[in-house]
Amino acid sequence: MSGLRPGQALRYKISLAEPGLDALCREFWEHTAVGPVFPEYLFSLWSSMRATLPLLEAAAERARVRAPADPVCAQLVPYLLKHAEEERGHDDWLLEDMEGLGIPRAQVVSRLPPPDVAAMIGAQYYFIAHAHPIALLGCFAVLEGSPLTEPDLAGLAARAGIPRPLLRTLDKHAMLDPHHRDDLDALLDALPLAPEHEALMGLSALTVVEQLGGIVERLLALAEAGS
Amino acid sequence: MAARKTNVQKLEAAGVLHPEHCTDAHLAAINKLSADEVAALIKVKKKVGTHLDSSAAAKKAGRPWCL
Repeated sequence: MSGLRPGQALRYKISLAEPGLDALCREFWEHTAVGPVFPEYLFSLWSSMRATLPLLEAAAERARVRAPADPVCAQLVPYLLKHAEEERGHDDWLLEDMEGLGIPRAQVVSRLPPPDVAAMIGAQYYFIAHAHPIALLGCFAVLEGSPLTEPDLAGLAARAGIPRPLLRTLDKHAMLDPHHRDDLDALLDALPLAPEHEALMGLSALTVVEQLGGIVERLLALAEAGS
Repeated sequence: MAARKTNVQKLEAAGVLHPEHCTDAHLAAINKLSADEVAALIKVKKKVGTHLDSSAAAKKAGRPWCL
């Protein structure tokens, strides 16, 4: 018995992996050339966000099918469906923010997705379909685990010369994600998890840390090239 | 035959953690990690961990990503 609750154990595993990711994120966010790269960052973020609702729906459907014989899946279904409703339309918010920055919606939706974002999302589809839908919670623990703060966004707006209203999507998530994080932790502590569930969530989370690090490295390289 | 290393020993050798900074509960959690999780932590450290320094770890910033 580890003494850590499942939510604590997952956060601890992520904390072992995230210092490098956090340093990369901070380097990108505070880069003097973050302004010119910001549209590319938003496109990468949108490419990921557009997959959130389909991922949740895929996980919910997989959990629904397995629920009669799987008590973890039975408890996952309502959480996933509720979270799906809470995330609905967020990718559209970001499209609107990008339009405010002069990036036409048609241009965004017709672009080919970044392969690194596709790989990050694709891995979650794989885990959901071929391992267990609980894997998605490991992904969410990383992506919603360290929300941006008001000082982060204020600093970005000043450095990049972006009007604050056009950071609406990031502002809303700065407010919403702490609640999502708490909801997730409460769910994890209530689920009848077996060691293999915790191992899969950990693997999924650590995979996302690595992949998100690669995405931020790409964006940082663009910022460096432009500075 | 050499004794098998524990997860704590493997991760310490890879520079992922310092056991002296871990509570007993954390050490127990580490030794419960699956082999895949240990490998993933070591891989992440190699790929992303070159930016790690102890002062940076203390200056945690928000992550510019969301769902």
